[in-house]
Amino acid sequence: MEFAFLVDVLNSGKATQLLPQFGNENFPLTWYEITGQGAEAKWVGHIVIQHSYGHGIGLGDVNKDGRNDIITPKGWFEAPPDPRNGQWTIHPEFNLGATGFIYVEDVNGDGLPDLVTSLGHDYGIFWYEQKKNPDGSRTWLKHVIDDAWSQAHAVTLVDLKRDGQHVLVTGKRYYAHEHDPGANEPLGVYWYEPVHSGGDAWGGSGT
Amino acid sequence: MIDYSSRAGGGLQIPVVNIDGDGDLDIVVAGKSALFLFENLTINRQ
Repeated sequence: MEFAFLVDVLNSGKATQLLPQFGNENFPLTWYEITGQGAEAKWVGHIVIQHSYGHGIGLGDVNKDGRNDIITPKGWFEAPPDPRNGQWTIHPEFNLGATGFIYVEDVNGDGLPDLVTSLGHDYGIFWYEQKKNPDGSRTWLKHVIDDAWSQAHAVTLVDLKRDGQHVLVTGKRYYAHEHDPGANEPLGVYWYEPVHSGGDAWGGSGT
Repeated sequence: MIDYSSRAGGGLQIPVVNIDGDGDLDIVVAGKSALFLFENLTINRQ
């Protein structure tokens, strides 16, 4: 396990479940909830599928059915009505590479949730525009937010300015791997905000 | 840009929280190089 996030798998409005990313693809894709109180409290795992799907993990409502789905770099798992016991359905619609957390957010305001993520061991912060085809299938169009520096392993989307708009806070992970592209380049901490002039661009604090 | 070419990096997770209780959001970064707090001065401490 490389990293884990508190997320809202149960759609309660509170991010109280744990969603880890397992580096070993033979390990089942699993999320955890805490049950019991006080000394009785323990974490209980719920298996989504019997193996893991690459470097990176995320959660969000991709198809706008009101249920948060699990996103992996190799596709998203559509949440069943009962996230604990139901069957999750994989949609292998993209291959994002070795990402960090994968956010679901309608970046361009067209009503279709998009993906926002970064490469933890290479250059680039990206968003993937969700496009709905006439036959109902989806395609994902890659947009570069910045690819001037590498190893943006962690991204946080947050209303930093408290104006109701998410900005993207990120930084270069020091020697994420010592052999990564750009590993010896300077460290940095950056934030980016969406610019809605053309509908799809992110302005940067830049380099 | 918040910081460049120092020892502050992005690590594996970046909490953005009101850590000093002054009402605005501050940024914490941790990793193999160091642990840093970037204090947001939008709302100054009383």
